[in-house]
Amino acid sequence: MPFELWLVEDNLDELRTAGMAIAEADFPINLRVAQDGETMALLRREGEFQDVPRPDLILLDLHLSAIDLLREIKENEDFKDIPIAVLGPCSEQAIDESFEHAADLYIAKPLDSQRLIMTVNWAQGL
Amino acid sequence: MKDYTSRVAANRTCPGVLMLNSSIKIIWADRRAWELLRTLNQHDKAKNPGGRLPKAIKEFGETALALLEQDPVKEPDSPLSRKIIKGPRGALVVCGFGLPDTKEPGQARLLLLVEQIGRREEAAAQLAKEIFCLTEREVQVVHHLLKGWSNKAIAFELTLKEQTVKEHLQRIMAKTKSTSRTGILARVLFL
Repeated sequence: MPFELWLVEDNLDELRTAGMAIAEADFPINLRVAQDGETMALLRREGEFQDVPRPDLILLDLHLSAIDLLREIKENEDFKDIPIAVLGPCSEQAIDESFEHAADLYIAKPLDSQRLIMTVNWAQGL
Repeated sequence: MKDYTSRVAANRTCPGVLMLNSSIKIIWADRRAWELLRTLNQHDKAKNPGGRLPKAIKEFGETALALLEQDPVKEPDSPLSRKIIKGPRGALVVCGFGLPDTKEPGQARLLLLVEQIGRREEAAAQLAKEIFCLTEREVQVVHHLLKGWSNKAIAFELTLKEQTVKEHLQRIMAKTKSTSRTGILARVLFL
């Protein structure tokens, strides 16, 4: 069963890094990317996303309403136990804000293969 | 089953993990690490206002990074350095591993494992309380039993008679379905 990874991100560099990391990983990972407008539909598995498998890990970009999305996910009975990693700047304030809103993990940008694979391994070990 | 799993997760004893870059800034952290750093920051407040990375961790990172620069090919599986840091809720042990970056010199990273000493025993006693329906007094007895104390020492600490401690142990054995002190420890620690 491939690892189901959802990435809410619109930055092309971060998407390219994620794609390369997944290609290099030694186990199968399904990457599903959502951009700003379609995120809520994906999280609620509505419309075209209704048959999408449940994610094993969700990565949220702090600049794409991550705090609102975190709240939405943690209040959802079906999703609240899914680990959430927030991608944001290398700033103490952003780290605190993310964890105070129930993030499980924080990754400072720019993303790289080493930390993306480490994050997937961390989620598999939970 | 889900409730049991949630309780185990809430009482998890795993270390917090964080990664620092060569400027000693956090570039990856899990929630457990953040919680432990926050307790140190509260403890350190007067000396380190507004500092997210506590002073002791920052100094540890600088030392570990210097060691990594001296020996960049050191086996990544063996820790560069270990340190015990006094915290407000008991001591923390920090273990630092080097992640040398061969692509860009000067971009080495540190992986830090942060763990609260004694957390396992404390968490185990609290988890046992829920699983085996122990009373508050029985939890206190288990807590001291986990430290290897004798009945006499437990009685002195809890201002009880030694016979009362024995009676508590009999009830704990019945609840945990064990027949000895060691049996209680096995049942509690392997929850």
